[in-house]
Amino acid sequence: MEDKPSEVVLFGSWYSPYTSRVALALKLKGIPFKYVEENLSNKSELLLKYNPTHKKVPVLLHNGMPICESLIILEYIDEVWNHAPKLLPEDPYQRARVRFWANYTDQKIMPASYPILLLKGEEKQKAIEDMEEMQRVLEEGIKQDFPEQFSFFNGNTMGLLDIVMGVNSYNYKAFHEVTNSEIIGPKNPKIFMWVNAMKEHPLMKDTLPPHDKVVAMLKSMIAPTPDV
Amino acid sequence: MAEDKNNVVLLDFWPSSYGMRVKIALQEKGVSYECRQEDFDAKSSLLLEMNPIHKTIPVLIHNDKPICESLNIVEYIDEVWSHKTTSLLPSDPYKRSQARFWGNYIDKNVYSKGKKVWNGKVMEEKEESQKQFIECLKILEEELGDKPYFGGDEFGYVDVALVPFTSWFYTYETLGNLSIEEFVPKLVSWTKRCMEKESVAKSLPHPHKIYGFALEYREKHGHD
Repeated sequence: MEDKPSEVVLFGSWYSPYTSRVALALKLKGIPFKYVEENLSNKSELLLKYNPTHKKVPVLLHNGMPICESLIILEYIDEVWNHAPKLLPEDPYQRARVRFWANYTDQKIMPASYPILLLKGEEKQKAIEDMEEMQRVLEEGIKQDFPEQFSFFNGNTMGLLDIVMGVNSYNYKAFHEVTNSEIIGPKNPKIFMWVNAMKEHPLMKDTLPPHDKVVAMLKSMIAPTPDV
Repeated sequence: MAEDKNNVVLLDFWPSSYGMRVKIALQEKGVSYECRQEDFDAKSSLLLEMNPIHKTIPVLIHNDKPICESLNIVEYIDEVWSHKTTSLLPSDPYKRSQARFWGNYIDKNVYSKGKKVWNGKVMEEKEESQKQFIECLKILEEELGDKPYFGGDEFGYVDVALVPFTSWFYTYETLGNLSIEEFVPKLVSWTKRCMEKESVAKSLPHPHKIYGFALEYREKHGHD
């Protein structure tokens, strides 16, 4: 039976934070959707059809048309379903700053977790220090750009930056446990408070994978599984 | 009401394709601005203050507030001066998402692959760099299809994102020893069509000037 064209379908992977961002945004907006779990070592024909350029998740399918790249998908969702909660601010300058910090997270912070996971000794320590500096830059920058809105809790709704930051940091305890580091902590008090508040949001719990599953996944990335 | 030119300042570096994007967008919207050239060996205190995170150009300073990253800036210009001329981004959300996708693709691929062609240092890698660069241009040509512009009938966001790199085509061809027109003739026709627009013609340096810059850069950075 063919999917109805107006149906929203999300192709993703359970451990991909980029996928979780989109799932969270759809839930925040109250948009019903069908989820398709992709096996990234054996990608489906549909995924390759809908994202031939990058062959990656997430892909959002709406009215039979695919949208790729998580930040682009989030903006699409906000524009098509432009009811509350709005993911981006109305003011063009504020929007530019949200986009700036979302890009900073994607270009700098997201890739920086791999060296911490995969390297050892001094190189690992350097990678940890680099990441801590980036977190500090992020904290200072967001405090400066959004002084009254830093923490989207206390009844305030989550916006694009909360989604990006919250998803990325949700399982920070799993990351700390596996890498024996403390990236998110009292050293960056505002971020620490913000991340912990977002962890309590019911939709976050509903969307993000649990601690033990993430620990197992991270461990498998360090030590390849033996051939069975 | 006449706009105060000093309200809009662009920190730029003239060979930068990213800076050219912003100039084209400002020209398209008819916005007066002051352009200040940065020296990469001696970045101004204004640049370091306005973009302390990345310390790169372009930076648009509007009413003393900085906006960084060229495609971000182009969207900002489109939103702020939305009353002036047609939009650079389409109004339909799906088409907007596609425009942003291709802007993102151009950002991730054209500069880095192009640089390997004109500044590649290892002979063995040269052929591979050329292949990858041409492949990237072919993908973009396929997206263009038979449309006059990436935006369709109207010059738009993706055209703005890509056309500055065409000022580098002569450099890619001469230093990379390849013929771009041979591989992507439609894209080259598109380039000529874009150059007929005043905003593009005024914003792109002459390809020979870019070539001169590339030669100096290679000499400075120890190329064989």
